[in-house]
Amino acid sequence: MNLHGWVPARIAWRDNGPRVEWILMGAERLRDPFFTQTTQRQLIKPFHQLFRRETTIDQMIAWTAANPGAPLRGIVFHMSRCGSTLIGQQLAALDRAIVASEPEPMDDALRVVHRYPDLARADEIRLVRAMAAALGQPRNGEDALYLKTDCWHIHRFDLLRQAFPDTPWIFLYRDPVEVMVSQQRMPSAWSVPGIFHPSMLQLDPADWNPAELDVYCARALQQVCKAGLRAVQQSSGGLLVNYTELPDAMYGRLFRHFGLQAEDLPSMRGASVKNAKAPSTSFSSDNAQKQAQASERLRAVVAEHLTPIYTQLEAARLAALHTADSPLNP
Amino acid sequence: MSLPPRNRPFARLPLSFDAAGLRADLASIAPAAWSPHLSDRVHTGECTAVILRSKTGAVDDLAAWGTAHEFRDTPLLAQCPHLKAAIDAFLCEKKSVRLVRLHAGSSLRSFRAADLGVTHHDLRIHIPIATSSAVELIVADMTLAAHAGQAWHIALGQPCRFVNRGAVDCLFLVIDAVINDWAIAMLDRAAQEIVSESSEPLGAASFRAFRELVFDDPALQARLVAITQPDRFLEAVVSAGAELGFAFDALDVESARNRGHRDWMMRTVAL
Repeated sequence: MNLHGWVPARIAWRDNGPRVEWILMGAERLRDPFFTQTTQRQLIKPFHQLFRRETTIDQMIAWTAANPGAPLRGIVFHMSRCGSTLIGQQLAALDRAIVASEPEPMDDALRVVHRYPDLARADEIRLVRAMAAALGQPRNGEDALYLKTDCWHIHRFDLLRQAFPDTPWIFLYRDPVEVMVSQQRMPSAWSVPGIFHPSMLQLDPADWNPAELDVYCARALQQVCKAGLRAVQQSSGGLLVNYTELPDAMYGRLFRHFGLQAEDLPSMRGASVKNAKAPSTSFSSDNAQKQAQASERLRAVVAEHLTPIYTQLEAARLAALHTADSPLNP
Repeated sequence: MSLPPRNRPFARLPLSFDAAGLRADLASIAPAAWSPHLSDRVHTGECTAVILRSKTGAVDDLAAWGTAHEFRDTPLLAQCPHLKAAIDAFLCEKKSVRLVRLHAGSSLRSFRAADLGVTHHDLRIHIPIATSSAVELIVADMTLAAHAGQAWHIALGQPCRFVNRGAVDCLFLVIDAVINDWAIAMLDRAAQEIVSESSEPLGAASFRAFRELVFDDPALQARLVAITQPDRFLEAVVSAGAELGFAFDALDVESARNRGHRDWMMRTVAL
């Protein structure tokens, strides 16, 4: 089997078991803000309606064992609407980097356990590693893979850390008033009760009061932030990063963290002046604008459900910065 | 509570007829009575029909839509006692009833009648009168094991296409009827008692084998993926298949493409 140039697009749930579905991408790079945008654009070509390819998970594991791909050099966990796409686009500007930004097939891989609750952890690790290796196949001589996860994947932190114990990671977050304003303006699918299984968000169905959609969203974000804080407290290799540090943090403390090199700087600077989700427009921090749009109701919901965890995250981040700056920790 | 499935794409029905008797009636139909049928669906060859029951009572009135009381028998039906007995065996009101002839070497492209079907109170029954192993009735991407004298319900919300690769014409009696309690009971009986045999269409199997070769041939992949114009792409796939000795045609490729498109569009993106 020769899968050179093929990229996994999803896991399909067939009658005879899960199948990895691959599409031929050739040298097409994953440069769009989101993985799915690149695959959907490819799928316009008639070829892909006829010649998508299916393998078993074991075949993907065997293929990636023989073709390990570019190593995973960084994972970006985040609370959504907080600049993670900007970081993704800064990295995607590097010719030597593959950036998988919220890739659907990795999400599928992280959900296999929902369909197969008796899946052994060792097998889940093999699956997740193989999926990263399949996404990280160098099709243009790249030597590094970066994964920007979906925000709920922080709940799979332990698995991802076990699978990639040497990979540096960050948890990115933002003033929750601004995140909630963004979610109210354009809700994420996960923030709408019923689209996602609440367990994916560490929520209970009882958390859903149909009259209070904003509370559901705030509680989901609270769980994400708690998991991010827990990860940084209990595990190594991670940094807490606030949106306010972007885009400059990429040239500062994230630069070494993600193993970047001096020659990477010019391309990254080019990407950081653009609006990450709409690269034809320019990036500007919109804190003030979002703060101005926050209703009293929204501020009350944030104060109840999100301010405490945000304060904890900030304390932990500032403490770490302080320690890192101390002369004892060069 | 045991509820039988009522949304199956096709079903063989618990009624069958003497095919030789049905064929005997054909002698009373003048060759000139056959008029072109489904001309916008003919891919290759020819398809003709005579109408046994129509809105105007004329043998060339192909309009199949309308309410049952608008339809009446054409003069031909009185001359075809075996066909009439087969039609009368279905104890429900009839709309359009016709004999359809798919000529030797002819094929019809895929079609869906989205507004016909059990949920729309319509029932379309196909009774093969003359058929062969070279004839394929393909419904929902499966070839029905439909033999002469059998009756098959085809839910025409499903993609449906006919191929006659043989050297002789094939003939079907097609009855559009209105669902009533008797019809529901018959469909339920069919669901519970009859295995509606079907198999992968010949062209689909051939295309599947070709696809495996493409997966092993990066140069051919690169050549095909570069073709973005859909019709040119289809032609290129058919001719690449023919060069390698495969027997599928453009309709088989179209059908695989539609299935691939549908499968992608219908994927679940959330849990």
